[in-house]
Amino acid sequence: MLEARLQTGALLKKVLEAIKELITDANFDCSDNGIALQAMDNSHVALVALLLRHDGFEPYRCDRSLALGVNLVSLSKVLRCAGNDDIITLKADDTGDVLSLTFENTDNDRISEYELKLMDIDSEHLGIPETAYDAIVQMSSNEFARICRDLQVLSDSVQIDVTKEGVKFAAKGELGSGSVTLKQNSNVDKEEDSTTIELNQNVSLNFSLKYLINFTKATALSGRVSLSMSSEVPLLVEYKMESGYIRYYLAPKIGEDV
Amino acid sequence: MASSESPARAKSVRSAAARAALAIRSEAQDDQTDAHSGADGDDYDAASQTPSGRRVRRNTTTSATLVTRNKLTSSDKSTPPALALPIDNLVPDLEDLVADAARVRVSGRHSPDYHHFATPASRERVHDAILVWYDAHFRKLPWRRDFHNQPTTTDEKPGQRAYEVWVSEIMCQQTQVATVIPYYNAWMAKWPTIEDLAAADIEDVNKQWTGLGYYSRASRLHSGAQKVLNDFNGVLPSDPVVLEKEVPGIGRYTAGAIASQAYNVPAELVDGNVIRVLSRLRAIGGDVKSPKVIDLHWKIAKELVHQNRPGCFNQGLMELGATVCTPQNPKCGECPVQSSCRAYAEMLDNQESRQEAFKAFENRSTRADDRDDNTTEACKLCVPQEDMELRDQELLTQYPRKACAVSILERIRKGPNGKPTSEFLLVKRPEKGLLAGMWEFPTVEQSQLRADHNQPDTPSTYKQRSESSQRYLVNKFKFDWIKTCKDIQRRDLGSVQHLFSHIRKVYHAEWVLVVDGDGVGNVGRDEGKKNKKAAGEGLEVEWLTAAELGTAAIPTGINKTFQLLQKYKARAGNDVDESSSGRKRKKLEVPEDVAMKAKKVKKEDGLADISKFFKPSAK
Repeated sequence: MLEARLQTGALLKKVLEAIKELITDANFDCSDNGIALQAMDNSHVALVALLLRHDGFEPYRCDRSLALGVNLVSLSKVLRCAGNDDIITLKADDTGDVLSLTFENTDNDRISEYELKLMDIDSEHLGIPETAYDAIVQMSSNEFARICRDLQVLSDSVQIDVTKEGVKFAAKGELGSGSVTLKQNSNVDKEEDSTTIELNQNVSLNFSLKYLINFTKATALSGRVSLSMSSEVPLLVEYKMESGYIRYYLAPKIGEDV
Repeated sequence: MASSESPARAKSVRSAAARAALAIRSEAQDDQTDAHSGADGDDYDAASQTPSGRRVRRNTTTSATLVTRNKLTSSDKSTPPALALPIDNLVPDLEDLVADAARVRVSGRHSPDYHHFATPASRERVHDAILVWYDAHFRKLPWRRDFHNQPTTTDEKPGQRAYEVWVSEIMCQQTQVATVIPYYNAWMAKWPTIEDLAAADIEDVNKQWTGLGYYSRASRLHSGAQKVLNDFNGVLPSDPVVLEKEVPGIGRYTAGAIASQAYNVPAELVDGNVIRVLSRLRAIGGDVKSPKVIDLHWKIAKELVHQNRPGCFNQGLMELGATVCTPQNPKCGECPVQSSCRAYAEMLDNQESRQEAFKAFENRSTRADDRDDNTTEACKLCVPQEDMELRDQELLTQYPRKACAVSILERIRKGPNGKPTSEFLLVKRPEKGLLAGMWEFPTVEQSQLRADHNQPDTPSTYKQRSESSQRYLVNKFKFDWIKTCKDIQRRDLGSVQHLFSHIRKVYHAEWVLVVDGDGVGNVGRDEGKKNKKAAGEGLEVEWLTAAELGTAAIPTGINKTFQLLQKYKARAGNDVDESSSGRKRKKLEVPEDVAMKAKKVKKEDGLADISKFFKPSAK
């Protein structure tokens, strides 16, 4: 039995926007700890790990672990019927085959109820090891989205170089080449926009821009994004929410420029 | 085990003796239980055990007399119980189950009754055995302090025991027992009664919980306590239905636990351990995720639950699952209900010659109390298990499972150098679900198999699977030639299985060989890339040689089916095999990175598979 009430429905809408392009169907693994989702995209290049911790809901109740197989496109369609300020309640029975959603508006004079049929999804759950990354860049999520968008004009892949001085995003294509460099700054006035770098070792890695742009769909969820990198290890792009996170993993491009 | 060479008469004689021995055994068992509870100084147990024991005795003796009708009755009466006890008495029950298993295996089907306990006697045998085992093996835990006593002792206020069980059950969720013990003791010292807890400050409650994790459990306990105080006068209800419905944080399982352990209400409960024990005990092969199968487990648990000591029985069942009937390498030798275990019987049956076991079944004139005789109606829940090449251990751990039909379509045609080469058809899996986007042989999933033949209640046969596969090929890839093609061979390769983290999937493989493969399967890469996507409903298909198969990323389960084909070819030793192995050697000279690259192109320009970086989790 799952019962989870979310005060700001917009959060769930944004979460769905952030993953539905990448993944079509996935299991929401509900446990005492909260609602989690882990899935690879269709081509097995990227992996999404989502966690909505129990304390983000009020109340949250789940006494037996449940896997709710959901078609994300359908779910986001249903969520479109909810207002941004609506309170959303998710409910599911241990044995039932539907996820029921209730949307209440703030004046409490409109209640809509939807039931979404669940699917049986076989998913391979991957264990993601704790990794000590060579470089961790924290930056404004809007800035990251803009850089990806801008560089897409030139190429479908981006090279990210991280040094002590700053982080450089560079793209090279038939049209020509371009790059954006962000210097490490600790602007106290505008902490939201600052770029900070934790570095053990310089890194220089290539990633598919198409996927990165897909990841930036989560920009609305957090003002900050962190990029964690080590050579020959998937890039971790993390958007932290108030009680939870959305993490994207992207396998590095191999041997493209060689 | 059964000496199947013995003539029918000897057989019946033997079972009669066995049946009588059983009667003696259950008597002996009664004595044991009585003695045990007597030692505990507890009248309640002795009183409760004897009537049920008597019922067992009555039942078994009737069947013994019914069956024998000859001088044996007198002869076995003279058998001293001590002699009958050790090994022989275990055999007859199991023998029936093995005969059942043999019949199910040979007929390929079983009735829904196969999963139930047919008679009260067979149920009692199981729960008596579990209780006896539990009495000897239970762990001493703080919340089991009045383990053998009647739940409500005089100095306790009503509901106190329920409160303790409730706290312990909530604490034990997702947490190891050893961790829970100190927390439980501290909790009980701080809030000995439900009133104390209800009056406590939520901050305090959370603080007390620090370190246990999943803090919502603490707040739910707290709000639950307040609700119980307000709505139920501070006493947790004894009806599991009310518990589940009214008290926050109490689900079906916890409700069952509280009702049975605190109030001695015969309420059933099912958790992961119980699911495993029951699905083995009753050979339930259905997908444990499906609501119907979960329902069946609850039903069986309900049938089985002990009327007088439900709490002990439930805990015994869970403890059995935790310590003996483990997911891997179950300790069948230590199992108290081994003689009632269908999975164990199926394993024994597998050890014997299958045919001989079947003969044994036909020769049996006895009727066991727990026989699966309802052959008119077939069970709809289990995934068919046919001719699986299982090792003994796997027969036990095979539950639960899923199945599918795989057709390995091979075409032989003239290669670029004029030599015949053989190629295999591979299809990209749908871009969702299990192994999304990986390549496999054309596979028909079980749901489709059943839908095709409109027979959700019978297991598939090779013929049906073959038809389904053909229909699939025709519909999806417009392989209409397959219907008219004369130069085509089809072979049943048997089946293999592959263990995913939670499901055991059975692949039934079929080999479809098209000897004159020129112009066959117009979706190959020779016809240009444009065809690849165009072929049927957006499914990507490709013809690969055996060597390319070796380097392509195909799931292990599918790889196993290919090995099955190679084994088959090796056995048959036909010339197709020779030509393919010759070609294989030649192909292997292709630099590996070239082959790799070809594979990668199919994915996404030069992107690595992310699953290579992360291991499938151990769970």
